[in-house]
Amino acid sequence: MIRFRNVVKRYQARGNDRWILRGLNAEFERGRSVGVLGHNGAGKSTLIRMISGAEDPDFGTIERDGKISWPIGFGGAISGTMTGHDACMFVSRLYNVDPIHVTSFVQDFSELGDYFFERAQNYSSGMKAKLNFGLSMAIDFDCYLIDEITAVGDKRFKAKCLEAFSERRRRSDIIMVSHSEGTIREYCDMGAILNDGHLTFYDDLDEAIFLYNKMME
Amino acid sequence: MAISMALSFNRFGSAIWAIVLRELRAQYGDRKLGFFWAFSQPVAYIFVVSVAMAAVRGERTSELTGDFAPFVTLGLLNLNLFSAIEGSVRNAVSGNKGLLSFPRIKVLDLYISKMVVEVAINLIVFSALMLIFVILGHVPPPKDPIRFFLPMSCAIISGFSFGVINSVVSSLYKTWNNIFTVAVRINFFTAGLFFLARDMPPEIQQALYFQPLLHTAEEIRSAWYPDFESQFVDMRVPVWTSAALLLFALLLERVLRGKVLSKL
Repeated sequence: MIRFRNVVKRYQARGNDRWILRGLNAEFERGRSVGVLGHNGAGKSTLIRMISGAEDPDFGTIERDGKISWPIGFGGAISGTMTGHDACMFVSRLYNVDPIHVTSFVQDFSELGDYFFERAQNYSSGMKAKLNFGLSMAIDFDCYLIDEITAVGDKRFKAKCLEAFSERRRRSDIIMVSHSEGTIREYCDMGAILNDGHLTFYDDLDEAIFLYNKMME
Repeated sequence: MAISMALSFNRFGSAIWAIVLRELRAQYGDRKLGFFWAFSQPVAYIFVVSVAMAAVRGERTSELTGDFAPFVTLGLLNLNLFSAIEGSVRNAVSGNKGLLSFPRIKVLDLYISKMVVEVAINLIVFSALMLIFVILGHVPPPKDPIRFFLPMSCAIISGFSFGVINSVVSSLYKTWNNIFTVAVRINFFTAGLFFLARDMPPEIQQALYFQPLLHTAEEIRSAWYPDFESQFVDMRVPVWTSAALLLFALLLERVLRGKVLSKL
């Protein structure tokens, strides 16, 4: 479970306040996968980064129970000087899991071939995303944070990711940010709209998507 | 409560271990001569300063105990523990911001990992160099090795604290790095790299009393050389300075963490 208590976050942009959250009190419950919708600049990625702990709220606290992934789809977690193999070793140590299992799983899943032993700075953005996705699938997280998954590989690889997630969703939840209505429908069973510093949850995903589309008209 | 503390400690240990190994691999793993590079800089430094000292003093040996090289090496160990840690910790967050995407990695983990790496490298390099000097007969074995612990800890904590302070301040004010880099050069001349406090005139000694790194350098040399016991050393200066700096650095980091992270 992820619990927000009076969370406030804002940025200063050209002298004006840009609100991301205006005192949010909410819970992302276990057993539900949430698709977060919002216009460009609403703060969806910031929200994901705050949940991951990469960014602190200005005020309030975020409580996290269970093992939460890093934001998948964001390639920044793997530095350019690391090879795919280095990244596997690093993540294995970080999460105290068997490095042989992680390495063989990621090597097989990411389909990087010889590039697995090359530095990530030589990877295309798609290859980085594949490695990142493979790494996150190698660890059993209670909650996966996904920031725009659409960059991961071709159609066949996307299907592979979806299949891996479908299997994983029996025991893990997802918090996803995406502009793609289709992707949200594939991965999530409820929705939330982030707008002007307010995050509103909708039990019915269709309702959330309908309201979001109406808002964007 | 106990379980939560144990889990937190476990997370902290795993994070530090993972980052330290990653850092060592990034620094030395892919280079053909690997760890040789860790030795090259201090050796070059020691050589240049020793030759310069010999030229200035007109003789090959220091009045203390033999060659200049081990004398300079001990001074450089002290100075390097401070400056290498400060520089590395200062860039810990800005150079590794991607790592903060991992929920298990906190800002303090980055700072501490950098310090661990620098301490490990410096201790290995300088221990090896001093061992070589002992074997070659340029310096006697250390008089009281346990006495190294306190001065080296003070140098390490001061370096770490300045690193954290500079990391925070420079992320908010970009020019701070340039100002500090210039200001800290005074350590080269005042931290006892190539002199003993007793060689200085009394007025200078009085001014140098407020340089904690000179006290730690004198204490390290007192712990090593059998015939030397510095009358200048007052370990209260480095101990209290490093404790105050650490407290200030941790408070500053905690208070401004949100601003620093949002600037990344």
